[in-house]
Amino acid sequence: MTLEAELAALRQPLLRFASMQLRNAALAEDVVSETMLAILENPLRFQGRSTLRTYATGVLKFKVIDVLRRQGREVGIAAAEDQSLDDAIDALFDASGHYTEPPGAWQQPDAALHQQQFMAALQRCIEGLPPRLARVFMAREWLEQEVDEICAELGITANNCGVMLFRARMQLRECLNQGWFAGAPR
Amino acid sequence: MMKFRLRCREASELLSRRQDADLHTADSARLRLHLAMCAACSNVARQLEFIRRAVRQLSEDQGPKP
Repeated sequence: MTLEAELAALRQPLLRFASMQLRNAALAEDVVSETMLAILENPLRFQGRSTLRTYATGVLKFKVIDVLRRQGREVGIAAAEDQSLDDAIDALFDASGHYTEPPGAWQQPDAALHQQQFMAALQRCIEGLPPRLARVFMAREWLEQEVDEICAELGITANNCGVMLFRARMQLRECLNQGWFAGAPR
Repeated sequence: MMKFRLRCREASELLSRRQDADLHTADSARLRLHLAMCAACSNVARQLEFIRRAVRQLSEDQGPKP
């Protein structure tokens, strides 16, 4: 199989990866195209050190980070709070700061990692995050950027970053709890 | 005056912060003490760690397959 053919076969998974982070189909298309072109223009750089898929995803990740960096500079993050999510997080705790409904344990959560339906549910939960929180969360957990880097790119304080990550994580926890673990046994 | 006892809301904020950076010694100690006494927060601690693993796996599934 030629490199072109192999890359063409990777287009869909690369598009899915880029779409999850950029949330913009046109941008995702552009970034994937740039990635594939970059690899075709420098085929010697990929010398079978890893699979083509791993290598292509690596190149794509850097390009996605570049796009997010540019977007962050151009658009910035609004200081206005997402009120409904604030309320949702506040509602988890009573006036004395304890859980209104103490979270129970999840039974053997790692077993869910092998289930495609769980991974789909996780993806839906991530997609359900408000865009601003999703941006910060994905940069941290998916692109594995450091908090300092994320804050700097988006022009927000470290404290604000931390608050956004907290809210994102708690919302994901709630979403998975309601959508998977606390539901009917699977 | 330093508060010795954490409330669950504060503990959950520290659990989140701990995923990004080491906590100060005092916060770390207070959190460990709280977790030793609070089943709910211990559950949340495990669940946040699980979520991190799950998202990493999702990114690997969506991207590279070795």
